[in-house]
Amino acid sequence: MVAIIATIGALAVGVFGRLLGEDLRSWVQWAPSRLLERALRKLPENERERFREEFHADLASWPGDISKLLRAIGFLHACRSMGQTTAAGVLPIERLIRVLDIVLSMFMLLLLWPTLILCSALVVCGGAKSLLVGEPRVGLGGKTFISLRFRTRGGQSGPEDKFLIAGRLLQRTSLNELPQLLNVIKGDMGLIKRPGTRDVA
Amino acid sequence: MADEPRITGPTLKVLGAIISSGHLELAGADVGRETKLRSGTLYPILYRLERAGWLSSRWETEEPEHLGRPRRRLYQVTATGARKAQAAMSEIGSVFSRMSVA
Repeated sequence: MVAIIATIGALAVGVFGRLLGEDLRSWVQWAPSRLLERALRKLPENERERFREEFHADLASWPGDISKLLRAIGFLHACRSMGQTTAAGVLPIERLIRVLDIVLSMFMLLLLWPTLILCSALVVCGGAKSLLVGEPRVGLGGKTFISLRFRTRGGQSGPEDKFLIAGRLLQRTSLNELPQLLNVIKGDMGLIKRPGTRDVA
Repeated sequence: MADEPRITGPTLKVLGAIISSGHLELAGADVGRETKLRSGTLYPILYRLERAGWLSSRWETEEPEHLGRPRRRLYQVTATGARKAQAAMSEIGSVFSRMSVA
């Protein structure tokens, strides 16, 4: 009996480990170019093309996936430091506003989390297809992003535009807009108006 | 042209590697292998030295289609860079010789 359980256990670990190993391997292969792109965002725009190619060539010259990964992590540090060298990146006032945005929305989330949980419960119990809906919007810097709201229409069955039980209430009180605080934290939207920008969102 | 780069240990290593390679231009990864510097330290140094005019860089001439990989950016020390590096090294050298005399 013990032997059977042990065999099954070993098989399970083997299969799981193999799957995990494969996942890990593909992740390790995929991560460096993602890290590289993330790093490049810290550079002034006119330098990105050059360093994209230069860094890719650097990665290509290292044999192992792990050394590529470490190298790519280094690019993050490198670009942060290089972005500060040129100081052409973000204006100090914009950085300050961004910090205030984050602090404010964190504070609001902290204050409003019972409301958020209540709203989530209302949406989910109303038989919604999903808790949140994402709509493409134009946000800061003219970039398109997915704006998050609680779902107010569209149950698991029935027509897409039919209001959920609590949907109309959420919409009228604008409580369905609360998840946009997450967009603010992500940096898609701002709570505080930026100097010299039109409100497009 | 930016401010004069600060001469730090890693900066000297980078300059040393590029100068001692002579006419052979080095890519960032080569300098990394030579100096054992991590990419996070190496590239900001290369970048600052280039902005200060101590280094110049160019793409390798072959097309990426021929190479089957992205082009490498090759670094070379400029005349100014060589002179300034020389000055920095002799300054450091004199500090050390004074230390050993004392």
